[in-house]
Amino acid sequence: MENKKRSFRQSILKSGKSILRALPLIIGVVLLMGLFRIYIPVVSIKNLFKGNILIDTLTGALAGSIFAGHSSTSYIMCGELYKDGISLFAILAFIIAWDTIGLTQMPVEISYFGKKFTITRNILCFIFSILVAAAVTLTLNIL
Amino acid sequence: MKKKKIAELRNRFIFLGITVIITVTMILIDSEKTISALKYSTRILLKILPILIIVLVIMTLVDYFLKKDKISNLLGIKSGIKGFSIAAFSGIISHGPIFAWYPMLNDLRKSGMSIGLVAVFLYTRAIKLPLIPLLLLYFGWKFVLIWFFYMILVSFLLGKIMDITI
Repeated sequence: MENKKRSFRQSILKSGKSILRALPLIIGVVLLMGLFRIYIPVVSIKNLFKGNILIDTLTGALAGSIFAGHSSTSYIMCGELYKDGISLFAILAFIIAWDTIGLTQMPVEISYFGKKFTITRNILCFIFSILVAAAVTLTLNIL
Repeated sequence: MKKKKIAELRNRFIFLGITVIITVTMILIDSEKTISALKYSTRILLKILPILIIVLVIMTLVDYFLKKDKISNLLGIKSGIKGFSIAAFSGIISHGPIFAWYPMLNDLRKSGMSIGLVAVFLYTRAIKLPLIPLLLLYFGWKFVLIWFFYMILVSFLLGKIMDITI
């Protein structure tokens, strides 16, 4: 029992040190997120869509990759954009890219998992955001 | 190993230093907007703190109860559908900003978690259970089911591709 207690304390200390080492990165990313959020406001996205499905989908995916913050606001906004007639392709690509790609957290991701992982994952997620948007929209039209 | 950790920590403080310099520069350019940005950042930081505590608890429990070979068995490259299910489910139920989970994923990675399953966890975080009612409201149940299916399918593909390429 005494040995297990010391081992548990060691586990807490080890995990605590990991979190503490992450703090400079976390604070840095949070600062960047705040700047992105205010200087690149999400409300401006409606102006980006021009009515061309292909270009709007690409635009949606690019915009989603850049915008920062909690995606709940994007869900509400996208719902309203959909009501306004923006294509589901574009809206979906935007939401998926927002949730799977992160420009602001790339430095942190690189720090933990390396450049190759981070760049490959984000590029694949960008491609997949467009493919999933297309797949969902086309499947919905068929069913 | 110690030199590598010191270099890593130094780079992290350099990153923080750069973001602080950028923030100070933006204050000089537009103080009102930048202060709004700082207020937003503070709100995010306060939201992250409980998540970091949860991550700390999970990391401690995993480190205490699961040995490396067990983690390798559950989440290693040969863990198959079992490993994928654990990673995908954990990603779906995880909460808070993505970077709060990096320390835990890094520790699991060092203990044998496959890089593909790290990618699966990060991807399935896009399936946000608390926001499903919003999707149902705007797009309907058919949309939600189809979207969920494709997100899971793609996360599986992504995991496989990452395991092969990295």
